[in-house]
Formats: sequence, C-alpha cells, structure tokens
Amino acid sequence: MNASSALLEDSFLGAVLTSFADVCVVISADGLVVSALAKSETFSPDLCASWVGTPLANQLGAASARRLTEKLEALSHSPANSPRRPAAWLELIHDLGPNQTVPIRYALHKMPNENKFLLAGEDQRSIMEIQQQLLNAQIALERDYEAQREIDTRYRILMDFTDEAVALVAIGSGAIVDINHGAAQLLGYSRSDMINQPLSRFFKGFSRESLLSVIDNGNHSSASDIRSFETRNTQRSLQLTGKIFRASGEQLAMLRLSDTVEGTVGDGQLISGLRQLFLKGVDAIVFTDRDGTILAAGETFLNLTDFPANSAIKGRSVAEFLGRGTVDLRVLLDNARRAGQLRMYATKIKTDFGTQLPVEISATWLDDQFEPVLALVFRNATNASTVRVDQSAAPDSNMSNIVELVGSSTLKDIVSETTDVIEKICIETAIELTRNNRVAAAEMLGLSRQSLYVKLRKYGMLSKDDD
Amino acid sequence: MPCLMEAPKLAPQGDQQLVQRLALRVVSELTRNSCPPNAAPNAEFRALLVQLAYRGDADTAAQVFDYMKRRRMCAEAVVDIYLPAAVHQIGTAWHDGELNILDATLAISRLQVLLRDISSNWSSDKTGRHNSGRVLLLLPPGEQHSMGAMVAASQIRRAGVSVKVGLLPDIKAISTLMETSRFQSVFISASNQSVIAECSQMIATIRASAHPAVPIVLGGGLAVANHTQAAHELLRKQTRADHVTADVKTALQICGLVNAAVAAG
Repeated sequence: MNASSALLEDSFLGAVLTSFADVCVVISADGLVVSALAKSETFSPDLCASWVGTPLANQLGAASARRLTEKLEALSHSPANSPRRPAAWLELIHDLGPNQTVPIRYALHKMPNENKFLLAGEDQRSIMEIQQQLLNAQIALERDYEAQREIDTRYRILMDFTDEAVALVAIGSGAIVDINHGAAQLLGYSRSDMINQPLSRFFKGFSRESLLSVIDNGNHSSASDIRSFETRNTQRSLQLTGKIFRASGEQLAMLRLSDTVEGTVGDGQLISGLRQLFLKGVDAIVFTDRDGTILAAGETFLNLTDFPANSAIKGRSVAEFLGRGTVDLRVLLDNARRAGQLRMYATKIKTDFGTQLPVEISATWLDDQFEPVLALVFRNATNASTVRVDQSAAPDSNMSNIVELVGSSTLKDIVSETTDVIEKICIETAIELTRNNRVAAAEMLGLSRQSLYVKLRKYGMLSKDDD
Repeated sequence: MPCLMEAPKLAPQGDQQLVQRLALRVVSELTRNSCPPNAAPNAEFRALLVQLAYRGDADTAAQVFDYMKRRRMCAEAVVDIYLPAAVHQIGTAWHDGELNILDATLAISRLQVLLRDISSNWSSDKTGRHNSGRVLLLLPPGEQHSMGAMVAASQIRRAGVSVKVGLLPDIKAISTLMETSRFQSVFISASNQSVIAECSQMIATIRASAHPAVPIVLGGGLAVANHTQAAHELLRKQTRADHVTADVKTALQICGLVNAAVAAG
C-alpha cells in the first residue's frame, strides 16, 4: 500500500481527517479514485468504497466533471502544496440519482512525492439552504420594490392629474412633505422648490396655529369657518381645508388649497392673457411634443410660414419648417432637454412658398407636467443685426458667431486657441473641485504636479505666493 | 482665481469671446459623450465595484459614488458595462474556487442594491404615452439570480418603455397577466441551461393566452453563453421563442420599439 491510500485507510489518520472534512478522497492525476472516506451523514461507507478504481468524474454532474478535469490538468505540473502554496478550492456537485445531488466544496492538495491529490471536502447542503433563503429573500425584495415602483407611479399620477390642489404637510415640523403641481402653481413656485420647505414660507402670516386651525375646521365645521390665507408670491387669497392622518408614526395633514375667485388651478386672467399672446403675439409661439411634433401653433407662426390654417401644420414635425431640418430640431431638443432652455438660436424658417426667412428661436423645455412639451418662440430676425448691437449676449451655440470666427482666422489658429481655452477651463474646474488641492487636481487631470504648475503659470493662474 | 474671459494671446477681444464660446461647446460635447458605448471598462473602477460587492460597507459605497462623480462616469455606463463586468469577475472567482457560493451570492446581492440606487430615477411610467412600449419581462422559475433581469429592466425603462417584471412566476400567474394586461412584447431573461424547459413551458402558456401573437424574445446569460447564430437558432427551436438575442437594444428593435431602442443606444 502506498502513502496516499494508507492516508485514508489508517483508522487514526482517517478519523483525524474526517474531523476536519466531511469527505476525503485521494485521486490519481487522471482522476481515478484511489481511496475515499466520508462522514456517514454525507456519503455512506459503501458508497465511498464503490468509488475506488473508478473516475471521480463519474460521481459528478456534467459541469462539475468538466471543472474537475480542467483543475487537475492545471495543477498536474505544479509542485506539491505547502504552507506557501495553499490548496486550490473547487465546488463540485455529486450526482446520486434523480433529484439527489450533494454539493461539496473541496480543497485540492497536491501530495508530496506522488502525482496524486487529496481532496478534502465540506458538505455544502446547509450552506446551500442558507443561500436559497438568501436568494428567496432577494427575489421577495425585488418583487416588493417593483410593487412599490408601481404604487409610486399611481400615487404620482393621481397627484398630478387631480383637479384638486393638494399638499401633504408634516404636523410636527410644518414642512411640505409633498405637493402636487396644481397647488405649486397656485403658490407660484415649482414643486421641487417647495418640498421640505415650511408651508409658512409661502403664505403671509401663516403659523403652526394656522395649520392646526385649518385641520380642526376640516374635521368639523361649516363652510363659514373655512379660513383663507394670502400667498406671498402670487398675492392670491386661498382657502385651506385639511384632514389629519398618521403614516409610519408621523402625523401628516392633507391640505386642499382652493381659489374661490379664479378657480383651483388659477385659470383666470393670466391664462386668458397667455392665450391671447399665443394666438396674436408679435413673436410666433409653437408647442411641440418631446419629438418635435407640433401640438399647437399661434396665428403669428401661420403668418410667418404663410400656411393657411393651424390644421395644416398640427401633427407635422417642426423640423419641416426649419432651414437645417432635423439638424436644427436636434440642437433645439438636445439643449432644451439638457439645460431646460436655449436662447436665440439662429436659423431660417421655410415658408409654404419655398422661401426662407432668418429667425431666432428660443426653446423652453416644459417638463413640470406629466407629458413634457417643448415651447418654441420664433422671432423674425430679418432686421435683427441692425437692432441688436451687443453680439456678446448671444448664446454659446449661436452658429452665426462660429461662422464669423471661421472667416477671421485660420483653422490652425482656431484649434490652437480653442485647445488653450479648454485646457484653462478644465484646470480651473479641477482646482475648484479639489478646493485648490494642486496634487489632487493634477491627479484628476492626469498631469504631473510639475506639468500642472507649468500650465497654471502659462494661464496666469498662480498667485505671487505660489511663485 | 482669474476670470475665464482672460483667454491668452488672441488679439481682438471679440475673437477671444468667440473662441471661448466655441471651446465651451466642445466641452459640452465632451461632457455629453462621457459614456462611449464600446469603451473598455476601467479596471480601477471595476475593482472598486468588486470591493463594494465583497465588503458592502458604507465607506466603499461612498468611494464608488465619489469615483463616478470625479470621473464624470454616467449611471448608464455603470449599469451597462461595469456591473456585468463585476458580476462576471465574482462568477469567475466562484468558478475558480476562490469564493464560496454564499459569499458569491451576498456579493451579487450588494451589487443589486447599487443597481437599484443608481437606476431608481429611470422611470418610463411617469412619461409613458398610451402608444409607447409596454414589455413583460420574465425570469423563469428555476433561475436563482435576478441581477441580469433587473439590469435588463433598468435598460428597458431607460429606453422609455414601461416594464412589468415577473420574477419566477408560475404558469397561472403568467396566464392571469396575459389575460388582464396587454403587452407589446415579452422578454425572457434566462441564464441557466437547466431552465430551457421552464422557458418553453412559459412560452407555450403565452401562446395559449388571449394574445398568442405577441413577440417573445429570449435573452440573458443563456444567449450570451451560446452566442453563435447556430446556438441562438437551436435555443429558439427548443423554447419556441420568436427571437434570441443577448442585447436589449436589439430586442427592442426587433419588436418594433424602434424609437425606444434609439434612446437606449
């Protein structure tokens, strides 16, 4: 008997090994089992005995058999394990028959002086059970998260589409927990600017007592008890009624805001004025959807394009009316989406008769609602150059400025100067981001500290102390 | 700090301002293109993500977000490039025996928390129009990890398509979903060869429902591992799916959700 088989067949050594491992197997370099020993709760002695002389791969699932072969191949030319060469680990699935598998995590020890391996394995069934529980918990968590996402969407749509102007206010702090667009509009702010702000900030003479009195009235009183408060921003008198409720241990008030004179959403003089401006204003106004399809266009736009009726242009892409077509539309949409607005974009507008008029377009992205809308204001720029003297006020993306630049310098000079300016902007930004930590700024820019100093000096960004 | 308007050496003041505007436009373009689609993953950031997966501590999480901020790394790149790369690294570590199954599962769970955090703002439902896409995304019974399906869900949402996620649904749940909802396509995210039978059964259930013609696309790890056209064709025949692809953008395109696919790209 050689050393490797004696290792497991020696009753003392076998007992020692199986006190550390659930299963021990000695295999030859080509994967044949030389000897095997296991705790009875993992594999029976008869089963272990039946493995001897057969490939261990026969006891494994197909994927595990492949992995064992790969590992043995990789380890066959390596020296024996030692404290400096720890064992390799391998997780293998023993296939005991239909629906009966035992996962074992083996440590592979290459034995000294013999091209054989001792595999000391840990029964992973209890671990797998924990893993399965973990996976079940993960799936349950994801399902809850998906359900919450759906409920959030429903709640948000309910808040945004109801005709009521409502706000949720924390009784303790008086802060606005949530407010819908209708209410935010009545108070003259955007919704995002109002979240977590005290409600008292938006009304004159509003205090915690006012809030409590509003809730009391909401619970039990006649219409004559309903209190009104004047808004700070819009100088409107709004009636407030409310109900108190508890959520997650916090007391909240649901407040309903209403304007008895102009209606809940303020469809009063302002809206009427805006409608007239849209229809008859000196500058043409067009509203499009997120893709640039025209939703509505005023009379002035029809005049500018010589189209006879609104019905002839509604549903068409605004790109059809722009000098550079989809290129113009893309610039307008991209910038408006990203920055919220684009001022005085110069292009030409096509008329129904095939002529082109120079125009300046201001684009505003109106996304404070369910369906974002692009609002475009077209200004006839036929005489703009004589009206506007200060070109420096033009926007960054005004193509005409670039046209002037291209005419005045060579490409080489423009590229060189542009590179300098970009370098300077990036260095200034890095210095600002790192709060003047030059080492961090140099790292951020991928420069050596010395190169950064050279560039700081070049751009006059070093103070006298630095020098 | 000196004013930006002090651009060096260019002669006339007006030209300096023009150059500066041009430069700002270039910078703006550079900023917009901070997610090159086929860029090689940054090894340092991938290592940081794997470290977060192994440790799951607040400090490493803060380092991840700090790194993203400093390097102008967009959430899209993290979801599309780095999370799959980190999952692959963890899978390889398990395969090589460096990690036990429990630690590997915990590591992937932690990455899933990160995925949820960074993709929570991608909501196609808030802005969905009645004619914009609606997809049912299914993870077949027998699958263990939901990471791949949730990455796909976030990519579809980002493309403006509304997603209903069905995790390990039984046949009855699929029947009910198909009766009560109207989807423009069904995507199945499968990773293990062992769930092909389940996929086939799910597809048969959908074909027997009130909307049998809905296009069904099989994707996920299974389509990645069997990446040849012949292997995809075999999977398609085995499961009776209409299409097999590992790419969400392609799936959206072949289901006629073209605009959404452009947005996803």
